[in-house]
Amino acid sequence: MSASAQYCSFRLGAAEYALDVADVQEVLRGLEWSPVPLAPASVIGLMNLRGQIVTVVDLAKLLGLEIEPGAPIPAPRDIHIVLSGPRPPLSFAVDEIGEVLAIETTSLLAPPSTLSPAVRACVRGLHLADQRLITILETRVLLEALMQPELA
Amino acid sequence: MDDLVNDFLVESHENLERLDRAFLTLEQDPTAAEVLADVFRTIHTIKGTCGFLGFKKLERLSHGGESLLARVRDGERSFDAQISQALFELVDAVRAILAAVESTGAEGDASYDGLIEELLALCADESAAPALAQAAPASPKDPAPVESPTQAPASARSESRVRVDVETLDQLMNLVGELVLSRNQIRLHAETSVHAGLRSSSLRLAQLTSELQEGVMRTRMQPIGNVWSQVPRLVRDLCAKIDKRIRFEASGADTPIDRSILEMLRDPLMHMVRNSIDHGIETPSRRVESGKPAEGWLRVRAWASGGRVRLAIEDDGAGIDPVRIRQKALERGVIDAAQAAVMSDTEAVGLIFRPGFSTAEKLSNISGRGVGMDVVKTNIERLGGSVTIASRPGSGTRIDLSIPLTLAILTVVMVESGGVCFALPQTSVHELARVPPRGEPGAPISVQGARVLPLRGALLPLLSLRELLGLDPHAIDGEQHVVVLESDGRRFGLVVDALRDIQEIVVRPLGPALARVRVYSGAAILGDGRVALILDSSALAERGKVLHTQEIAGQGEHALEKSHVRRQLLLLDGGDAGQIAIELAQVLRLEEVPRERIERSFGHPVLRWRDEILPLGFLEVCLGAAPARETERRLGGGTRFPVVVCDVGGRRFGLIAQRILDVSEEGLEPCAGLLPIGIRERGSLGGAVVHLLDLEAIAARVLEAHASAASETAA
Repeated sequence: MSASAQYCSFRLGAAEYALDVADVQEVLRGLEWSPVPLAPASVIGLMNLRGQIVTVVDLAKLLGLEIEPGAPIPAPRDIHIVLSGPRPPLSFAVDEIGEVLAIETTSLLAPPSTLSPAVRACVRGLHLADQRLITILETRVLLEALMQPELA
Repeated sequence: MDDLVNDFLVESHENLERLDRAFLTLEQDPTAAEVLADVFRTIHTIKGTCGFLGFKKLERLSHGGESLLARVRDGERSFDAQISQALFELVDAVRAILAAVESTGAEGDASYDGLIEELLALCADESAAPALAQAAPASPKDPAPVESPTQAPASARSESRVRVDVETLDQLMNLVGELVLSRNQIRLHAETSVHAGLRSSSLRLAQLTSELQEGVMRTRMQPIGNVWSQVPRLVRDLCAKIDKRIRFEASGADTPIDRSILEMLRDPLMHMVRNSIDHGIETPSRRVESGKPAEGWLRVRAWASGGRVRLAIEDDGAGIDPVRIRQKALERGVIDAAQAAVMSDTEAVGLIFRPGFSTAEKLSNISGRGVGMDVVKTNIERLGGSVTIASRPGSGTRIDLSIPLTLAILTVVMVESGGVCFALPQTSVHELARVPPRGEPGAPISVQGARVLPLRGALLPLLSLRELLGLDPHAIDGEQHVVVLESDGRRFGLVVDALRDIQEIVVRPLGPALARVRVYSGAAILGDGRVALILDSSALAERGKVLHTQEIAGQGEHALEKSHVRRQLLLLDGGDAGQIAIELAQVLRLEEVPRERIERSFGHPVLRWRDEILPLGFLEVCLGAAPARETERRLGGGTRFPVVVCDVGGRRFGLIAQRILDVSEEGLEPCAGLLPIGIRERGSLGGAVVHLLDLEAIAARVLEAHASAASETAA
């Protein structure tokens, strides 16, 4: 058996990302959330998921992604990737959900050294196929970053 | 295998506490044969299980203890101080190893050979020394006559009890919370439905849900005594260390309380007990000098009252000297000279709850741990509880806690600001008020940028929830309501856009991503499915930089001298005590009570009032102007009694006056002179001498009389 894993891909702005499916509980669309005043910038709010209170995290803000100049102003992100690990539960809000990809671990590329060290730490590797570049994120490190003061 | 180890850990922790208690008993009565047999069995069980699970160190240790105990049990060795010390050390060592097993799965590197040798040497001491020869690891054919009795009581108990994972209980509680929400929703629909069947089913569902909720809450209850199970040992160890003699007494250990509250109560209680041992109770020589018995006492009592649990921690030590407290507070800059001058003794004693305050003249290794009573107070208030302290210099200190039964379900006042709904715990809400529009009398005033609201003769600092939380700052005109919050000794008005209803909510913790936002203590799902944040009033006060009430009170009293700002006073005829005044703000209600409604509880008069039992006291008796036995005569005399229902920091009681005279807004013209106990001010009003009650002192007196009568009768 070759070392491959399944990844759930999604889009933030123009770029494609993916998370290990083992870290994903479910993907939801169009749930309302309540804002949390004074919360860190990366936290959008709280939503009610079947009686559980889920913290909604703006993954783009957490990664410190800049909106590219000239890009259309994005609509509020309302696709939620609910993570399977953390309790109380937590979700990442993203722009668009993609497919589940099986990727061989050995084919992953190292992140370029030009990325800021903090962001590089969140990246498990890059996957390049058919002109698509998918950044595979490490959920555990993202969660750790959430506890820190804002990611640079 | 892991399950076995877990069971072993849980069981052993319980066993170790039993051992602690048993050794303490043996120190008092070294010949208690039953206790000895029980201790021996307990150690034997631990040893047996260790051997089975392969914990070699534990096995050797418990073998050492068992050998020693066998000699004691057989009367070959008498239980003396040396033995008890060694056995206590054994318990500590076993605890340390268990902690290592719990965290790492292995016994750890610490060596206990010294202790084992000591245990075995003690075995040998008084008699010939064959035992010393077999000092090596446990021999399997050790004394086994007590093998069977070990099993019998344990298995009998296990049939009527089930061990349930705490996580399961938490989940059940969450589910019940959901059910409560669904019930609320269904009730809402049913009320507007024409379907009669739906309405009656909804009522039935509502009732069943309440019963289920109560039942599940009961499963989470543990006896409050667990929280002080380690105190006897602590008292013993500390006394030995600092040469004091203290008797520890506890009552009400069976009072049930939610386990999560129990956990949060442990540290504050231990802190207060340490304080009492270290600073409160004097050394035997000093006690004898001041005419007290050489042995002091420390008493912890718990009882349930009106949906809450009360806890009293008392000692007969030196008490807190208000003069010294004032002086220390001045030195540390906690208050200034003017404040110190106008502060009552009760207020001065209350200073120990202020941050940065510790009166210990020398830091000792017992209570000088860098945390003070302010931390205790903050922790208790975080639980939705309250703390008060009463002290008489020379004769002792009493700290009273009032704690909710459960944390999981909270009654909240819903408010709205900037389009967002928030929940405020009802325990911190003092009152609700409407803000008159600008220009009308009673509208908020701006004092050098700070907004204040004139409220019954005092100025209430206002904080805008919009500003505090950075919500849409426009449309200030929308802010129409004030929630008067009191927490942490600070009182302020929180300005909100709208008041919603009062709800019962299920508190959910916020994830770690939001834990740093201190103004929220949790979140909850409302009946309509939305999520609301629960505001923490002391964090709001901190964010808004509200001063402590004492600071405000201090400044307020200066203003009083200059401008005679008026407060409302309730005037009563106190019979032989003269004319008595109570600040109207502390009065909940005035009642005319017919004689037959006044009942007895342990000889003291009580009144069933709303859903609680209100202790009653005669005004003259409380003030010492009439002997206590007067109570009897007066109760026989009248047919109706005017009762003033008072509330002092959540503690409620009723004062029976001769007559209610008037409500006055005139200020007291102060007169100089010594004040009797229970009186805060004396002055003239409308040509008569009026005494303003120190309601805190009176509260302590009324509640004390009732509590001590109850415990004397119980004893």
